[in-house]
Amino acid sequence: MNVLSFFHPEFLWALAALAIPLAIHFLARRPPKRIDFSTLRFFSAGAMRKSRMRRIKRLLLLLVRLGIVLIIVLIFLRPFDRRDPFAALRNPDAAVYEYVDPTISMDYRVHPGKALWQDAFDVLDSLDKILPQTAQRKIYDDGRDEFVPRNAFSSPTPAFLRFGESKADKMLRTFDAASRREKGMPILIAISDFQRSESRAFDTAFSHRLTAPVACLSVAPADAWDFRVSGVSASGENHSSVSVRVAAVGKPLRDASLSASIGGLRVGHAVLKIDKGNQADVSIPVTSGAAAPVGTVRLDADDPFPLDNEGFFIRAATQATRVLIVGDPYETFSLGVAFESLGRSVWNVCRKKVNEVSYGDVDSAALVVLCGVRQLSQPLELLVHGRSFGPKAILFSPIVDSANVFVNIAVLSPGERHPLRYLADGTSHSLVLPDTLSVVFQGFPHRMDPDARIYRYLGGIPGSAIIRLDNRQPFATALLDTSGNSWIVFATSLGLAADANNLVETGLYVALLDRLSRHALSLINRDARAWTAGEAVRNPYMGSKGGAQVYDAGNRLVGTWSRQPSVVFDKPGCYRIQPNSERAYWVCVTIDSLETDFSYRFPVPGRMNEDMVRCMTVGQFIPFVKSGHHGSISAWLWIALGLLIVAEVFLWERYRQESDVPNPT
Amino acid sequence: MKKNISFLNPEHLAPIRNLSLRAKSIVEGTIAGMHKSPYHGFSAEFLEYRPHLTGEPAARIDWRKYAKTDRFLVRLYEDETNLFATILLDKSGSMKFRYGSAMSKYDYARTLAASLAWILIRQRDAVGLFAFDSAESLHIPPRSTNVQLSTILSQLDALEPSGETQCGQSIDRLAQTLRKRGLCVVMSDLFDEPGEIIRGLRHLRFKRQDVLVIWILDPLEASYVNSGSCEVHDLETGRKLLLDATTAAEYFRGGMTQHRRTIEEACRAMRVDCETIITDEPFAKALIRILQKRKRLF
Repeated sequence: MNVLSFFHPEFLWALAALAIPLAIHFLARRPPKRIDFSTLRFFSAGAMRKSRMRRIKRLLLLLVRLGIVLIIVLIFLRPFDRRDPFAALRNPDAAVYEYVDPTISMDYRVHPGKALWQDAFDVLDSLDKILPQTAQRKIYDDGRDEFVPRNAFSSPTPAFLRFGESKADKMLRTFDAASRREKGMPILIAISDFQRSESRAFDTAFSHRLTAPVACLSVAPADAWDFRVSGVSASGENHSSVSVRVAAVGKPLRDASLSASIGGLRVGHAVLKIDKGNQADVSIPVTSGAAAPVGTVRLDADDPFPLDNEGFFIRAATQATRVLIVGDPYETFSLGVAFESLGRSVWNVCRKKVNEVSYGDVDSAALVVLCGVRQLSQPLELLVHGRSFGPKAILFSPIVDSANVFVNIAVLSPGERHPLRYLADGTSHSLVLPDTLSVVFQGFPHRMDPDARIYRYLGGIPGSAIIRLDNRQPFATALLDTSGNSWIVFATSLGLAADANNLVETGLYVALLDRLSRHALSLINRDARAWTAGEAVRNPYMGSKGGAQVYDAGNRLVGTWSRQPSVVFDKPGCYRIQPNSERAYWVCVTIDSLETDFSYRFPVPGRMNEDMVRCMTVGQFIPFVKSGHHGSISAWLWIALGLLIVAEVFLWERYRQESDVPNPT
Repeated sequence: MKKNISFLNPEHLAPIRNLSLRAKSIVEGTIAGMHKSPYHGFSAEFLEYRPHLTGEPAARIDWRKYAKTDRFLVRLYEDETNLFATILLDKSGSMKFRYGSAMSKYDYARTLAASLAWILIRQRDAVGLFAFDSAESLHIPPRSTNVQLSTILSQLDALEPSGETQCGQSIDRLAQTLRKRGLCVVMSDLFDEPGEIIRGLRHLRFKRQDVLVIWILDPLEASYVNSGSCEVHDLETGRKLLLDATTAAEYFRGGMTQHRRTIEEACRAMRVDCETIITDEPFAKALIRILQKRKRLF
């Protein structure tokens, strides 16, 4: 029943004015006089009807006059529909929660010198004059994950922004919790550029029923353009050149200068010309004189978002990828040797028995090799079921033993038992590589290796085949499971089981493991060399006894990695990681590619939240608030008042005309 | 004269309960107001002598002539009365109506009737009374004696208005009984079907009656003016209507105008005198109006 409320309830006393027309009506009204008349001959049914009509008209006139007074009072009271979620914008009891997208994409500058985040705060400032003075205003503090009083952000600085993915869904959860506690009428004003990644975060939050309205205001530029540098890496022998990919999005790039620097010394230069919508892979030859291990590539161009005009590369060795090999020590010995032969700086190998594997071992490893594992320990159970750990690359090599096939394979898809079968036919088979030009096997010398012989293997292994045998049975398959893990499943053992294959004796064994391991890692984007600014990743030293210090390119200590579960680089750049007991290595931190994707869309509220979410540009928002059409029924009141006045004039005129019956005398 | 007429206003006469006294006051005041002696020209005209017949009352013998001629002669006059007048008085319930005026229509009508009867008797005319509502209530055939006047006045005193109006049928009934030429004075508010009334009047005219319709109306009926809402009760039937005064006035005036027009046109066509008298009109003025119109009768 509590549907209507008033913006100015202090005018409720004016409802007493309703007594005026009532008083006029009842004072003017006299009880009917009794007349004992000589005849009713001339008072026909028409007279009765007309008398009744006049009484009704008089009553109508009273109602219309009451209506006029009531509406005039209501216009002062300014009622609004409480059911309209956006009525809160005009409500003195409103609790206005504000959110300004703090991701770095908001640093896009449409107008020279003015970024999107500044536009957002300008809108919030302009709301000061429109929203009721008594409204409580809070703004989301991304760092504290809570809404703080608005004056805490009265003078925001560029430090307001951060790198990394959107946390809008987290913010919306916080808002939801806060709005449930709120006694007033909560409303969230979310200002963002609504990049696709941002909108996806909102979409996720909107999949649940909102308890308070959300106004999604976009500050996105109408026709965004950008020049960006990506894929920077040192290439060639002794890193004699730097490979760069430059893209011109939304605008052609004309005679821009692309320069490479190492240790502050400019070592290479190129002039670029790229058409609108195209990209170019550029290789900049660099002089080898510079001694610094890391370098920078910079594109000098007028750009609304210059943060992605810079890329970093490393000339020195990168961090080793941690490999956990689980299985019988005898069986896994050859695998450990194979990985270590590729270089300890590339693969950091750790071999464990099944029951020796700890959570930390699994957590710190990027690649896990399960070799002849019959029963899974609890950390491994969690690994294969995708719980507690992030996506991992897993090489799965079963023991070719018909009695235990199901046990080993069933871990891939719990509840499903693949009908594997033992396929040894008494003859050996060689490996057929699918295509030497494929991503996985690019650069491999042989299409078919007759020296590698497979004696015992299983059929029906899940995933898409990467390598086949010469009898067309798959030897290795790749798949992504429902938990995000990437699997490379072999049809046969990779250990020292000589009756299964002779791979250990061939030169193919090491190369095959390296390629397939990298492929598995690339499937989950866990290339150990790629770091993204603002992205929290699992601390690689969390499970180990030691830790590491992190230094920036200027050799300033920027952090220490010890036992914290995740670590994050705040800004793009080159950083030196100094483990406590290992050799230091460099990492390049780049800006998230999603942040430089300047394509926008509004969130989709879904049918569940259709009435609770309003998406518009900031330009539309201020008139929207000023107009007060959301939940306020002022416009209807004015219309009703006009109609009632017309009705009153009409009724009164008719009533008066009927009363003016000429006197025959 | 003005003073006298004003003295004869209904509000002044209303307290006088005695109808005879009320009529006398009016008549004498009226005649005086006309500067005419009521005793001039009213004696019967001599026609001839005839011998007294046996059995005739001895009072009729002209003794002076007997003294001169020694014969029993009886003086014959042209006629004993020159007019047979019947006053038709409507005593239906509607005649009880009084709104703001001193007298009800019935009071006014019977006072007027008494005055006319007085005048006519004084002229040696025969006067009768026919009082009616829905049926005949009282019928006194015309006579010219003083006793007749007393009878009429006492009956008028005794009659109280009641019943529904059936004016046309009552007139029609009376017309059937009339044998002689005469004068019929209809005093009524004529709230009946115009067709019926006209039929009755036509019947009277057929019976060689000179007809004078005195249409008695209350001031409110003449010009219906009221305000607010009113609950109108029918005096005859007791039926009631809740009406808005403006609407009531509009409809009543419309209906009344039409009613009057119908009857007056019919009266003109039948050569029936129709005089409307409002009950707030002084009696003397009303009488003078009637008498002047009917000069030839008096």
